[in-house]
Order: sequence, then structure tokens, then C-alpha cells
Amino acid sequence: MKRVLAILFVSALAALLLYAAALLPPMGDADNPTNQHIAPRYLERGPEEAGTHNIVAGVLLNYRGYDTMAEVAVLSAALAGVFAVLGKGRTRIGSTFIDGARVEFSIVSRIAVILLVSFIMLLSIQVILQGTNLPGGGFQGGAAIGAGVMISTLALGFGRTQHRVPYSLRAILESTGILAFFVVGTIGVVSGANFLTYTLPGINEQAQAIARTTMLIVVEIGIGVMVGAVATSVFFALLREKEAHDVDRAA
Amino acid sequence: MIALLDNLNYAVAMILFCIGFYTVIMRSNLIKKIVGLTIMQVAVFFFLVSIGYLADGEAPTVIPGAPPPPMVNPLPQAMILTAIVISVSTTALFLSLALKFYEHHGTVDMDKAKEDKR
Repeated sequence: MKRVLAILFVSALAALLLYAAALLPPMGDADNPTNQHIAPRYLERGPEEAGTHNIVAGVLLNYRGYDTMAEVAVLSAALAGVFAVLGKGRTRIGSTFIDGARVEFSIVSRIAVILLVSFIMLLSIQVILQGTNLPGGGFQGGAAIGAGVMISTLALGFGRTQHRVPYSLRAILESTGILAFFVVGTIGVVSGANFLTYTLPGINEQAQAIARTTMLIVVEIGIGVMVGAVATSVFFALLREKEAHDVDRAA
Repeated sequence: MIALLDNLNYAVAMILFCIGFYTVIMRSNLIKKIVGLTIMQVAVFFFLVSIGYLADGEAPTVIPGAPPPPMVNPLPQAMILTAIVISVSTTALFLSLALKFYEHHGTVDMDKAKEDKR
């Protein structure tokens, strides 16, 4: 009975949504309101106004910098929530499900994973640093860092990965994103410009361009390191201790 | 119907959203509910990115010196980029709550947990 009702309700919802989708203007048309509203301005004057050849990064860091700063804060809030629910992930070394797995990784696959992770880390550094001018940026690079740490944990075990990125280090890195935004914004305010405009008034144009690129790259690096650290911390916090878990179940 | 074929991306996003919604309301397993929520999120991302699409548009990266080709709308891409990372961390929060539920009740199934209580 419940199932029939649910199917009916979801079908009605689907019909309504599909009807609405059919009424939308055809996808990919240059005359669509979405492509006429503000996008042409971004695309035309983005490199000059935001200082990035990658317009997505320009929108993210400069045009809508406040928004991105708040989203980075949401990331911190979600991490704080995970820590509040699960604890800080200070599991004892060698006691997680991964370390206690019955089948050991062979030496070949372990070496392959070490090689793979080194290339993933190189890629993520490049993606973060080229973010202002080429496709890439802090969020993507940070996600790649997190993926690299996860692969390494799955293959090498929690103990061998964890001591390379200990909790004390991650605790600092997890705040770099917001810190970078605040430092860059405050430098602008102190020198007489507005918050997060990436400008320093009173210096010549050439120095201005260099200062703007430097600030943008500092923010990109901050975001990248933070996203990587948050992904790592969340993953480590979700890993459970094997014995502690068994004891819980028995009790 | 023809209009729907023009907007195939939108239609797929709507159907994906409904699949996710059905999963959320029908499954009593918490992990499956979280999977349903994630499907709904992905449907919204897909819809918003599709809105910014431009036929034959290039990626919104300006090459200095060259005349700019028609480029897709950068705004939805920038929005979704942050939203994806946020969705990963909120999913982690959901999963950690599910983990606590499991440690407390010994099951991730809400119906079974209710039966055990009686």
C-alpha cells in the first residue's frame, strides 16, 4: 500500500517536473536568458576585471569571492560536525578494518600504488597552481589530494599513511582556506581598497598585476590545501577501530 | 514531447531527481537513503550545469591574444564546483550519523531498529 502511494506520488512529481522541463527554452541556445544575463560580461571582461584567464576561477575568487569564502566555511562546519559525532579520528595504529584485512596487498600492488599516488600528488599540485589561467583550481586539486591519500590508505594501511599526515598537521592545514581569504582580504583593506578585491591602491600598473596574480594564487593554494586536508580528516574519522567496534557489539 | 527531446538533459535530471526521491522515501536502510540523497544532489548539479551549456561553446578559459570563441556560461560551473565539494563533506556528515546509529542499534535499517526497541 505504502509502495503504491509512493510510486503514484513520485510519478506525479516526475510528470510535473518533466512538463516544466519541456517548457524551458531549448538547451544550448545563445539567446537563452541564462546565457544573456550576466555571462557575457564575465566572458568579455573577466580577464581584465578579475585577473584570471580561467573565467570560472575569476567568478569563484573575485566576482563571487564572498560566496566562495562562506562555502569554504561550510566545509569547516561539516568537518566540525563529523568530528563532533565521531571524535577526531585518533584511532590506534594498526587496528582499523583496513589494517586487519585478511588478504594482504602484494608487494607489486603496493609499489604500484606508491608510484600512482606520487603522480596524483604531482597532478594535484599542478592543478592548484595553474588554476588561475588554465582549467583547474583549488577545489579540484584539493579533491585530488584527498583521493591520493585515500588510495594510499587503502593499499598501505592506516598506520603507514597516518604518520605522514598526523592530526596535529591536519588541524593547521584544515583552516588554510579561510585564513588565505582573510589574509588576502585584510591586506586589501589595510592598503585602502575593499575586502577581497585583490587590488593594492597606490602602486603602478605592472606591480598591480603581479600583486593580483600572487593574491589569487595564495587563495587557490589555501583552498587546495584545505580541501585536501578536510577530505583526509573526514576519511580518517570515518575509519573505525576493529576491536573497539567488536567490543561495542558484544556489550 | 518534441520540446522534451530538445531538453533531454533537463528531462534526465528530473527523472534522476525522482529516482533519488523515491529511494529516500521508500528505503528504510539509512545508507540507501544517503545514496538517494546523493542521487538527488547529482541531479540538481546536472540540471544547473546543463543550463549553462552553449551549443558548440568552448570551455570558459581565455587564451591571450586569440579571438575568443563562443564559450559556455561560467557561472553555473563555478557554483557547482563548490557545491560538489560541499556535498562530499555533508555526505560524510550523514554517513557519520549513520555510523553512530549503527553503533547504537546494531543495524542501519530504521524499521529493524524500531522493532528491536519494542
